[in-house]
Amino acid sequence: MLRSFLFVAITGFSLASTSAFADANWYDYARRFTGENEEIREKSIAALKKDPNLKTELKKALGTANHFLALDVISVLGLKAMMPDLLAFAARDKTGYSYHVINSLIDPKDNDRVGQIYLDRLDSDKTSPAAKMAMLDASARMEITLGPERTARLLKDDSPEVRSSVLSLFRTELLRRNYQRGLNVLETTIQDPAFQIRIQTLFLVSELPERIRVGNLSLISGVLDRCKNDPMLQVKSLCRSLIAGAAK
Amino acid sequence: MKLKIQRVVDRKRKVRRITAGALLVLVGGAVGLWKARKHAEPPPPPAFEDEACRQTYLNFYRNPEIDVKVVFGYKDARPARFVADRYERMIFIQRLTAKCTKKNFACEFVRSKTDADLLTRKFLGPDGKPRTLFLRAIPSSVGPDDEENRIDPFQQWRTRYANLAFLQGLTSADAVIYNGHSRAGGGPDFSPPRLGKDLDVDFPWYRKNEPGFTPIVATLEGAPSKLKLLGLYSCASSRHFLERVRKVKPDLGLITSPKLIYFADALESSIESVSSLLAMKCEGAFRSSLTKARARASGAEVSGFFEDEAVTD
Repeated sequence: MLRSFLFVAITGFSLASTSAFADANWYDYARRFTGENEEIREKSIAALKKDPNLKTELKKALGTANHFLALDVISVLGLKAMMPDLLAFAARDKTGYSYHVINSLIDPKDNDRVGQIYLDRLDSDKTSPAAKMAMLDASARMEITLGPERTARLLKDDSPEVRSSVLSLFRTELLRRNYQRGLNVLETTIQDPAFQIRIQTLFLVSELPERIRVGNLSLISGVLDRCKNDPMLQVKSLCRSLIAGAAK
Repeated sequence: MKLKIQRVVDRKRKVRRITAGALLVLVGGAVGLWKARKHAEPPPPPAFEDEACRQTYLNFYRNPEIDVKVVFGYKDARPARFVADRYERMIFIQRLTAKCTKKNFACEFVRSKTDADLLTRKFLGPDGKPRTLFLRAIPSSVGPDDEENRIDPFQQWRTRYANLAFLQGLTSADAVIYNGHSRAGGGPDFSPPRLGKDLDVDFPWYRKNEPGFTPIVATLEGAPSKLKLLGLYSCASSRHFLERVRKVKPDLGLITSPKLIYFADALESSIESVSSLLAMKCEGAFRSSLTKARARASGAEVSGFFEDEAVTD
């Protein structure tokens, strides 16, 4: 009696669990990517892979309330076949998250082609600041070069976050990719209206290796001269400590 | 004769056309002016459904200048290198600076040119007098790559700045919202995480040392605080923090989440909480706005904020 009760209970429980898993929508599985254990995550991925309509559903979900979940699924499942859809949708994606997924899926051989699309979109007034940030941040890894004109234009962007991303890209090119280039970007960013950009500029000055510093003494001195009486105490204080450090 | 009549008819037609055109311009101008005026004037305060609700907002909007801090914690995605808080903050700012819609009050904020974190919004308080809300939206990371952030000296400044804004907010702001990781109860956290031997987040260390939570208790215990609402949009924040914060500051309103929280839901719910404060929503409406369709999965709950409210958690 007890044995048959246990059998019914266990079978019922496992059937219920299986059906709860089987009846779920794609977005229910997508939610299980976050914070759940590896087994649940793997089961969710396996279930999603079996869904024959998944790509259609995901395409429909872009820009809706399930936008981020759809992008998570595309990224986690590595759905490279959706790249054309993503690239098309990203042009009107104000959140910029489509670009993060594109960046995670892109093959290095496509860097130039996608890079050109990014450069065109960085020039467009219709592109949101979040999207510009995502593209600029990816540019370092994709080895996209903005060029002096576009750099100057983007350093005048209304969004301080875009200007900050341009400065970060400049830092990567200078310190990580050893690009031989002038430091005149720093002359612009030290005069940025947002104090956070001026601080970021000074931290970059503090990181400059000796070989770059020696070749740009006059420019660096000019940059520091501009901030030694900065109205923002934090900028002024960091600026003066750099001046004192340079004098030693 | 025929020609003369034709000329008179033509002239009359012309006069009619000019009059109609002028009328159109006048009406259009008047509508435009009315719209512009309507747009420029902040909406009147709501009719409160009960006195307790009105008292809550009279207390919250006691001063002409309201200080709200929204601090985005360091949002790494270990074992991946991606760090997301800058992007989440950017979406938050885009939403706050967008045009107002019928149901959204967290809108038409104006960005400061000199402080990238500062947004302001003018509106009428519960007494009908003007208020200005100063909202600071502060990120913790300097870039999207955790490995790179760890060796960038600017990261240390960002971490200190975000941490200080959060802790100062606990005593001097009217509302503070944290949107980030719980670090298993050791959060909030504004810096690249401490890693274990497996290069994953060292959760046992966070649990044992509570590097983010200990300063919260010390700050709230150590100085008088005017903070009225603390939102903790992090995983299972109800379990990790709610009772322990309440013990130190029993009169504090709290927004916490009882479960694991998906970043987009936390973001949506953070925006909803700012919108509800601006709309001066009473308890029921405030609660349902935090659990409405797009924010519902955050499971965020408000407690202890409304006067005479029975604490449910």
